[in-house]
Amino acid sequence: MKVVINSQTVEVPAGSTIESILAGRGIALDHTAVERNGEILDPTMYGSAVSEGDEIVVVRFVGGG
Amino acid sequence: MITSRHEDDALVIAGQRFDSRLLTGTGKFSDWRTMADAILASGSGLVTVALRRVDLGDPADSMMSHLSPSAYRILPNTSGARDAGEAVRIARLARAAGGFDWIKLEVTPEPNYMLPDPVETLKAAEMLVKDGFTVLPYINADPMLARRLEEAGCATVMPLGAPIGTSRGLRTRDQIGIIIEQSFVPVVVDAGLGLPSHAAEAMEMGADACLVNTAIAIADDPVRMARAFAAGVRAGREAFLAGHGGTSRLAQPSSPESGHVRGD
Repeated sequence: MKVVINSQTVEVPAGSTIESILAGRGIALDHTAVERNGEILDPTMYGSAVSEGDEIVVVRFVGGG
Repeated sequence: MITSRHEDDALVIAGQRFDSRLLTGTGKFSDWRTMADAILASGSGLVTVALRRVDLGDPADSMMSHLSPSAYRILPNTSGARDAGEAVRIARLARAAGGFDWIKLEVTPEPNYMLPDPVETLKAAEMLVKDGFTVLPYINADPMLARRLEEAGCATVMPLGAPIGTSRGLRTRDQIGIIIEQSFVPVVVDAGLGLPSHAAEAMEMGADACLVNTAIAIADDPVRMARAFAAGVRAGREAFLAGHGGTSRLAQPSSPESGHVRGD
């Protein structure tokens, strides 16, 4: 199944969740926010399955002025 | 004990007290340790951060583990926003990521000077205030815009001294003076302050605080420069509170004008 994460198309197993996708890539979930198809996800939704073609944006804090 | 009427001189923004009138940023430091040490050396109680997409190919160490939110309040910015819609999206994501509901609003669509867009900034400020954010907008030194943002419910106004990262000092001095004179919310001079003397000058004029990032981060010794800016801000503030005695074109002797040794 293909989803788009931060503008990159990636292949993930069916039934993947935000949690499993990010953990598999070594991305910690603390101080991170996730949008799915333009909607900010409540962290309680990170365990629900993503769907084919979902556009996911993952952001976190970096240095800035 | 003799106490000064200004002994309790805390900076108050949206009801929150800050002992330091220097705000700092977290960008451009060579490493996290230097950044963390410089922030602590600055004494700042309000520290800006930015929000960016995670690089999937390089999910490096998260910056937040190097900050101390118990020692200072984190102030996410909306850097990268080119219009009001993007700024609101970034602010909401920052709130979702960290629970931070204070936001440094910046809308800078033009890449060469990164001057803030006044129309989009005002539009975003109105939306964010309505959405429950405490909004600290970065603006050009425009007294009318400052007034409109204050009326929109912003917690501060943050006029630039010079374009971001240029270290050119208070190029907007006269306009900032008008903003200070007219403002009922704290005036934080942000951007372009390259030396502690620039910050001191802003504080001497009556600015409530200064925000400094680049000049500290790119110094040879950022921790020392953070201390220097803290001292500059304190000196400027003290001078403002002390009251400037004015200037004169002609010399005014400080020693007595009579009883000279020569006999007259």
